[in-house]
Amino acid sequence: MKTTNVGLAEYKISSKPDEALGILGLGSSIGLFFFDPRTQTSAAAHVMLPAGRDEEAHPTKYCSSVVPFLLEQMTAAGAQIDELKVAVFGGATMLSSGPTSLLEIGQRNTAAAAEALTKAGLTPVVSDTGGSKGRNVTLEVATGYVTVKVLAQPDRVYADLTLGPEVGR
Amino acid sequence: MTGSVDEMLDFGDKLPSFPTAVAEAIRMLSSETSDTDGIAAVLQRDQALVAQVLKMANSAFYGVSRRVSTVKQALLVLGRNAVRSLVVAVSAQEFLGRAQPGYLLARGQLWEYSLASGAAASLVAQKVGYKPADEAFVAGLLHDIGKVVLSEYLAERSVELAELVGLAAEPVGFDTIEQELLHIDHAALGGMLCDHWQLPARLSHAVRHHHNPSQAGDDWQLSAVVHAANALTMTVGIGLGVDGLQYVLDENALMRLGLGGDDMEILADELIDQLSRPNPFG
Repeated sequence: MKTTNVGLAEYKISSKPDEALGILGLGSSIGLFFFDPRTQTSAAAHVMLPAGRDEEAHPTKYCSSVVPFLLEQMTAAGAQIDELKVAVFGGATMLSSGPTSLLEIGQRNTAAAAEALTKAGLTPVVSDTGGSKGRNVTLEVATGYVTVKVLAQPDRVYADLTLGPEVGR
Repeated sequence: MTGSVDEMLDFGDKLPSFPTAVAEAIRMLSSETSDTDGIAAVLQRDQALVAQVLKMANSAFYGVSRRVSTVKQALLVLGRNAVRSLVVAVSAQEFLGRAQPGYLLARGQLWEYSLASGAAASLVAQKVGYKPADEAFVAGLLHDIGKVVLSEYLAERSVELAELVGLAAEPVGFDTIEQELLHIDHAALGGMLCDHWQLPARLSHAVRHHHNPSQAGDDWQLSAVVHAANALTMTVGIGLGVDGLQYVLDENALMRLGLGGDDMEILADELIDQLSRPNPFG
């Protein structure tokens, strides 16, 4: 299977059954995955920040602007968004030296992604966020299977998003 | 390996060295008695090195607007210290470009991370008014150089490492785990390596304290700039190894630089744009 990797602040859409969409190196950023089980169309976006200065020009960079944009692109690619399955990954954070952290991009990203999805009427079936480790995430376009790799930890496989979250092989 | 002193000496014997021509150039750049023409002549013997140094000096990452097209011009415009640091930075690709199995980093990943950290340090320096910004770039680029030495030792202890990383009830900084396993962390070792390579003392000091700039004493600024850059690069997710983002953020140091949470997000935004451009150093 060919894995197409999604770069910083970029997105990819695919309905090729022999393809997987991957996001390598999620730190505090968010990996947002959409899967339409009926047309087997998938989208992956590597979203960097909660909100910011380039929302119109670069909607996939921010949680605040990515969701409507990605829904449009999914629709344009022939997906039926009324049965869309959504998964969210990332939002890791550094360890804090005090009670509150100056650098809360991870937590703020996770919250902003959840808010944007709620606003669009979407509820993630998988949400694997937080911690202080980097994640590599891959979605198989044919099945909707998602694998999360964290270095030095066992892989976490989320079975077919059509069936909801299910951990383990 | 037993006591910490023995291990320090042991690590001291294992510090990587540069090729003879590079070492000679660094020696001349450090000597007050050598003249510009002589230094230029020595550097020009290695045209590949010169090309890389000029490429880096002229890159957007480096943060100096004036273009330099010859070694001599670089020496006159940027100064000897800057050229010496550039020579080291370019030459360090040999070591930073390798796979670092102890950190579970594939070939090229630490180099990519180091370049991104250099770019981030340059952005932070410009934001907080730290000068010279090119010094910040080199400090950012070299801050994790200690990992190239510690990697093989960590790889030997990977089972214990996985336990320490996975089992801690309260997450501790990865540098603390390194100290527990090896009695030294990559920042301290990086400082030793910079001394070994005869880099300016301020650079060694910043590398040594990049995880705890608040403990860097009077000369804390550059280490704080590198600390902020390091946090930004990890946040963006470049080159995350087995250590991931598992380091304690030194909030006081960021505040002393005048950086708030909003500033860090704006800097992250700028860094993402910069990293999306073609990488001039491959």
